[in-house]
Amino acid sequence: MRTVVRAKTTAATLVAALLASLGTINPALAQDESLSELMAEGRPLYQDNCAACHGDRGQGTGTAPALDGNVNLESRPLIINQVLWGSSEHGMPPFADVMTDREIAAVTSFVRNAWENEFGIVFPRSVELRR
Amino acid sequence: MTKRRNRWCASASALAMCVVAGSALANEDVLRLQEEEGVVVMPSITYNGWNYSPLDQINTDNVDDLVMKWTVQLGITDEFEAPPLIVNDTMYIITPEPNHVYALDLTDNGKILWEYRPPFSDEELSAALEVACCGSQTRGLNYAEGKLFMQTLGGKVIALDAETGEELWLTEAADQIYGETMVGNGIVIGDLYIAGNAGGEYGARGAVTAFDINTGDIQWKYYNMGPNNEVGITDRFQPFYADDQIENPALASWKGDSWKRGGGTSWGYFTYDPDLNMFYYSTGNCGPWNPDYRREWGQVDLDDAGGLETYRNNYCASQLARDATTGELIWAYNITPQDQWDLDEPLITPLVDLEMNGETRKVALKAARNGYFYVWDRETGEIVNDPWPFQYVDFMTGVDKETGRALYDIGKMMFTNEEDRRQYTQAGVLSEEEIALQEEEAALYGTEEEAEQVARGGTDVSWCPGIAARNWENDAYSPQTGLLYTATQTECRTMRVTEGEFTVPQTAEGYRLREYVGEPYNVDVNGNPTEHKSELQANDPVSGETVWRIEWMESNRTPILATAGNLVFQGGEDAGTFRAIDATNGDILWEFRTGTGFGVTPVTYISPEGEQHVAIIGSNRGADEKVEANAEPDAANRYKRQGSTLYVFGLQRDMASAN
Ligand code: HEC
Repeated sequence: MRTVVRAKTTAATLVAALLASLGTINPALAQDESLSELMAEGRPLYQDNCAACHGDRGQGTGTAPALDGNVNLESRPLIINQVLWGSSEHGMPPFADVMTDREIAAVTSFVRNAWENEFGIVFPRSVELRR
Repeated sequence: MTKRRNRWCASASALAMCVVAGSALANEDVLRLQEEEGVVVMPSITYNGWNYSPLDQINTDNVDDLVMKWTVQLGITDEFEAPPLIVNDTMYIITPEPNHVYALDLTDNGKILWEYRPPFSDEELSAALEVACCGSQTRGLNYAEGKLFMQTLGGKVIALDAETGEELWLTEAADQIYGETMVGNGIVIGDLYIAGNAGGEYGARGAVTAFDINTGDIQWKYYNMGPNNEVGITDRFQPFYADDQIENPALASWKGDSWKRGGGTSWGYFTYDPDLNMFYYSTGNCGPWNPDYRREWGQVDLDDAGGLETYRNNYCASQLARDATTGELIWAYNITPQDQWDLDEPLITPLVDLEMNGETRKVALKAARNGYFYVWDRETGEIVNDPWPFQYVDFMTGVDKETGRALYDIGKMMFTNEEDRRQYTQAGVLSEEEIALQEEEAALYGTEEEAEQVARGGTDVSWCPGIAARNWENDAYSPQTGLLYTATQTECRTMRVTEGEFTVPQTAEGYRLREYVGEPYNVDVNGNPTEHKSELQANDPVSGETVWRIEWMESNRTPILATAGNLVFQGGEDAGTFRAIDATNGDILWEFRTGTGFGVTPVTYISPEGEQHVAIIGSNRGADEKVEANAEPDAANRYKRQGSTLYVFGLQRDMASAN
């Protein structure tokens, strides 16, 4: 992640590749099922690991910003990186060592879809890819 | 009042200014008290910001005999960052939000004489919490003339009667609509209590405000960026470098009206030189993090050496010196122009007189958050050392002594769009891994929204120090060793800046315009991968060398106290231990496990029995950091559980004699 870089691929090419792949699966259906599963697993994880700082309804506290209605969560990479690696400078601990991929996928899926949020699922593979 | 002024004006060096300014100058009570051994009336003990105590009963020979004397539970379970004050056999402690204040009786093992709780409505409190970026900490309390001065997170500035805890005045001073909060830093100079503001992550515009210590009336407020009259730029503004000798330097260096929410808040500590009647502070990160919103979009003008020529965004991430009576800006130096790496600089500016190149110079020191060590002539703002990196720095290659410019590596600068970046550098846009990851995810999720998320990506930059070679935690300077002690860290990070909403007033949501990518990594001072996360460094401002360093395997960045006992005291949040360290060579001489984290400078004083005591508050952020029940005894977070306790230590033999 730090050194080797390739000049060619741009976000635009990625989008094109992605759109081309849209016909091949039915992601919406697959996601619905696993989303409710992951959210059920994520709810208690949120209460145990996040609520003390972010509030039991994601409303934020003096320690940490609100997650309910937080448009930053639209970015899946943002929330996964934030939970994995934290930002200790600003007071959020990393969870990479204390939660499994599935647990982080569950808690981030929960946060992205709880309360007023509707940002969609996070698959465990996305967490694994960022370790 | 009159008497005080007269006495101060009798001093020859200050005479000229007494004639000109007539009032204010140093507060005589503070000047007198700061000379008294073991009295602490401001966060860094003395106006010069040394955090150095002349007490030496406890020293390298006997520190091993320290034992705990008494302890008090402080009730608010959040990280304490405000050093206790000591005056009149009383210790004063302010808690993090909700900002309670305790007066503890030192003649009676910390009996609570009074407690003050500021008046908050629930709405006020939650409004403040919503815009507080990084926790609800407060960093100081000041004492002068029988009064205590404090700030609440939500921006109430309050004076209390130090004897009774009675509220003397309260002034509302922060505008939360504009993301402004207050974190408790202040300094009393003359009849003024001068305070900063916070909120640079959410659109606040940095400022300093002076309150009349007797009435709370605001005497002046000056911003760190904007039009001259709002910044306090008059004909007395005489910056050293050409970049600042332009018309409207704090306005013309911003794109459009971006200065209105340019960050650069003043959330760190102030120091003061009574002879020059100037106070010193440095400012927070530029806002928003994405620099494209503060310059011509996608455009960077570097000179041949890498110095930034345009859109320098004066004066966020900068060093400032102001007249302490009128607030006028005297000089300013932009440490990290157009900061885009969250390189806030609001940390202490210790003032010392040093022999440099054969002459005595009155200088201001800064082990800066950007990783470079600066020494300025504190009268003129001229850089008098060769700024050098005390931790590994790769976004900068040095400082041009002619222009004063920080020299940048274009490959480490942030661009929202790849096309823009490509005009300047072929250096990385996205790493191989990141590209593979995005491709795999695109297939994995396979929705149109996902496509948009990928497109939002921006370009990635990995840099050191990410995001701080050190932070606000106070240094200590020992005149015995001539060394500046600083808690540093080795972390580097990868970040991308993103497009988004940018309006005023802003909300916490949708403002940051950046996100982290991947795992932080640690490097030593030479840039080689390392396992250790933090260091305690002893740096020589004259020779420009790190004389010794302790490497901590777990994160440990807490404020430092130096004493004439040739000791350095520091809380060790890496292992939940409070430590005494030999100031000359860095040997750890004594440790006491409290089992907590630490965020506050240790404090030392003379007990009513005439014995030196040293005290520290062990505390941690509001919530337990996740520790598995079966974690290893030395696991990173093992000692970061909730709680907040004051511990007071003294030499064992006192205990024997007291019995
Ligand atoms: C000890 C307190 C604490 C705990 C526990 C904590 N967080 Fe945080 N969190 C923070 C702070 C402080 C921030 C702001 C960080 C910053 O500004 O860089 C934050 C930021 C975030 C953000 C980014 C918000 C944004 O707008 O950018 C997300 C997402 C997040 N936390 C999710 C979580 C989740 C999920 C958990 C539980 C697994 C959690 N946090 C646990 C303190 C905490």
